[in-house]
Amino acid sequence: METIISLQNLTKIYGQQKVLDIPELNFFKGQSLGLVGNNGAGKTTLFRTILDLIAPDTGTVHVKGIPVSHSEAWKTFTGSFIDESFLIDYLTPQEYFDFLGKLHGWNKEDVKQALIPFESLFQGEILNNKKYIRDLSKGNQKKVGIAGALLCKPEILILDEPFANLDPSSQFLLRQMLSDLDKNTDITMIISSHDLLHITEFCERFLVLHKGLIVKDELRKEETLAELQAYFQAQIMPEE
Amino acid sequence: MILLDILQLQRKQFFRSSFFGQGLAIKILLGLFGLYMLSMVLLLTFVLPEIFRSLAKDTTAYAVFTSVLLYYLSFDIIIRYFLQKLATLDLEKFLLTPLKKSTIFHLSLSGSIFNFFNLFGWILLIPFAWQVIIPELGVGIGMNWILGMLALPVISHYMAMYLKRIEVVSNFKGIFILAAIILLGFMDYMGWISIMKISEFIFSPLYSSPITWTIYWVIAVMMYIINYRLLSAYSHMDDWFSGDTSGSAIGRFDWLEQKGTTSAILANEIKLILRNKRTKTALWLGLFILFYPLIFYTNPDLNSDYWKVFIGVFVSGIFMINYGQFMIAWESAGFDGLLTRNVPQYEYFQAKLWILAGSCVILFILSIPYFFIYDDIFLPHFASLLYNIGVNSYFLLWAATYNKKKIDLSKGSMMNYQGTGATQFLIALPLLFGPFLIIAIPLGLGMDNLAWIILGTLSLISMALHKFWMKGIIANFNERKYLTADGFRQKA
Repeated sequence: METIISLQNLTKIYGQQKVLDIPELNFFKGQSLGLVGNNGAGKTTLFRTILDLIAPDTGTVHVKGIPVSHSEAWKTFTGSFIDESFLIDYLTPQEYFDFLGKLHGWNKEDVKQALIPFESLFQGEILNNKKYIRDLSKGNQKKVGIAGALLCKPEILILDEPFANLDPSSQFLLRQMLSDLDKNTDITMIISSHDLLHITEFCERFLVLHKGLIVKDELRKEETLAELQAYFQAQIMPEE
Repeated sequence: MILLDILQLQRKQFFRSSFFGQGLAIKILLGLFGLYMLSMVLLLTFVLPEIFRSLAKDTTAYAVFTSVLLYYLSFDIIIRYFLQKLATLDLEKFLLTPLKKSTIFHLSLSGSIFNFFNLFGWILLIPFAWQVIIPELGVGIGMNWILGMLALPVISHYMAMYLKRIEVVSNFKGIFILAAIILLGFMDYMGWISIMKISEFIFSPLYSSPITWTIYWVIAVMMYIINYRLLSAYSHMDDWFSGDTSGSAIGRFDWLEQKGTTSAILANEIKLILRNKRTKTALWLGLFILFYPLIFYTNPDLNSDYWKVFIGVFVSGIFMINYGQFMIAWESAGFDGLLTRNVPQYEYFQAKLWILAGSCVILFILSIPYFFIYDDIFLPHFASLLYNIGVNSYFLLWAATYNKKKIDLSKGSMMNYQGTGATQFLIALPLLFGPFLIIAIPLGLGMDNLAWIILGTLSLISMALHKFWMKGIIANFNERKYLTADGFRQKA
């Protein structure tokens, strides 16, 4: 399989604490990867490092063979949503999508077409609504962010906790969308979630992060869900 | 005593507010500013009677005072409307307590009287009576006058509060009333109506009949009741919040968005300015400063050539100085998105430069009437405009890349120093006084026109180096972007 993102010798230290320590990790084109780990495991730090929002203390991130810190090219084919700081909160959702489209040389009609698949997810509350993004509920903000990440047909998709804050119907719809995307396109997804059920549904590979270290890296098999549940249950047991 | 507890809470809120949590340097600076204001007011109370005596040629000082009182009152209401804070939203936490709603509203309304603006009014008006009215008209009328005057700040206080409140809960725009006040002022200026006469008509009864002061207090109480009624009618908190949030998206910039990426980013920036409290304040301040030349140029002591450039830079550059310092920090809430999206950096900074330069040009155009009123200021002002565009704008963009303090755009208004550090004050100095260094020598030699030409030419040369400056700014931005992004992620 073709490597699309590769990390070498990646470490990040805050104060005394090593929050990320990954000697080598490769992501493969078209493979969807689920990232799990308890709070403080370093998931968001890993995402931010891949997206060149944080400078690692050692090591580099290459996307398609080019270091992310040396080029802007990866931004044209990478869609991401980590938190609200990825939104422009004084715009309406429509204006936000139009702006993102514009950055890819799209016109408003292109954006309109690209938004059609999201209509059921939006439930009529996002588009044609004069509210600014900052005035939307947390759940609707999340939908805007996810749609923004997916809008311009990215080759790489990075989502941090996409299911959190979503209502049950939307969670189901989103899972369906991501699953279809995985099946029908060559997209490389990296998605973190606390909900094991959701990501075992469509991810092909799983990564468990614990205090900055990769403790599990496996392909999906029949018993993945049970294994992951057993792993996280073991975390609450007193140390043997 | 639950009321006492609430007063305690108010006191804590005051002393624990972010204002007192500021750095020591800012505290001292603001403290000095407060002292300065207070001493100015005190000084004014001594000078005021003299001023009015000198103005009263064939009439009395108090008659002149009476005729200008309405100007003062209108100005007072306008200032309060923009600067005074509406305390309503603080009430939310009390609405859940077992206190009666009416008690809470009365508490909030009456408590709001004790503020700086009213104090200012009283300090200004009462000593005047002591020095002018009582010696000239006797103690009886003097007391009548004082009692009446005490009501005036109260009236304008509740008037301004009412305008602000009604604007939140209904579609009515208080700004129309303010516009009406300004229009009346203009009509007065043109001589179509006489506000002086109206003012005399309203306030001269204070000298004639001894209990007129009660009328003013009746009006004050009525203003209070109107406010109370409004609060009771909209006692559910969502009434106040919905007005704040449901405001539909203002401004359409289709024509800008249709064009290239730079224009799309530019359109976003304009939306940012128009849709956020904090940035709107900067806009208002810019328009307010337009009146500065009136203060300076009417004073012959300050009418020197050095000041012309200072005022020129200040008037056309005030928005730029105010806004440009935080050029990147304005977007702190969405900064991660900016870094991960395909936003071309050159176009990004280009758009910002357009905003800064554009604001200078607009303010310059708005200040054109001054060129007809005062001689010999066009050239220095024009050279200052070039300097603002050619030098200050690049300097600000460069300085802005060093700013890593988060700004909350929804917390608006004057005296908000969030995101401000000592650096921000330092930055303003070279912006305003930089031109002095350039023009000092030719002006010292008495060659005014040469000074303006040198200033303008140097600015044009700087503009020609556009690409070079941009490269430096972008390099600096990239070098610091991890630090900046980290700073913006911290809670303010």
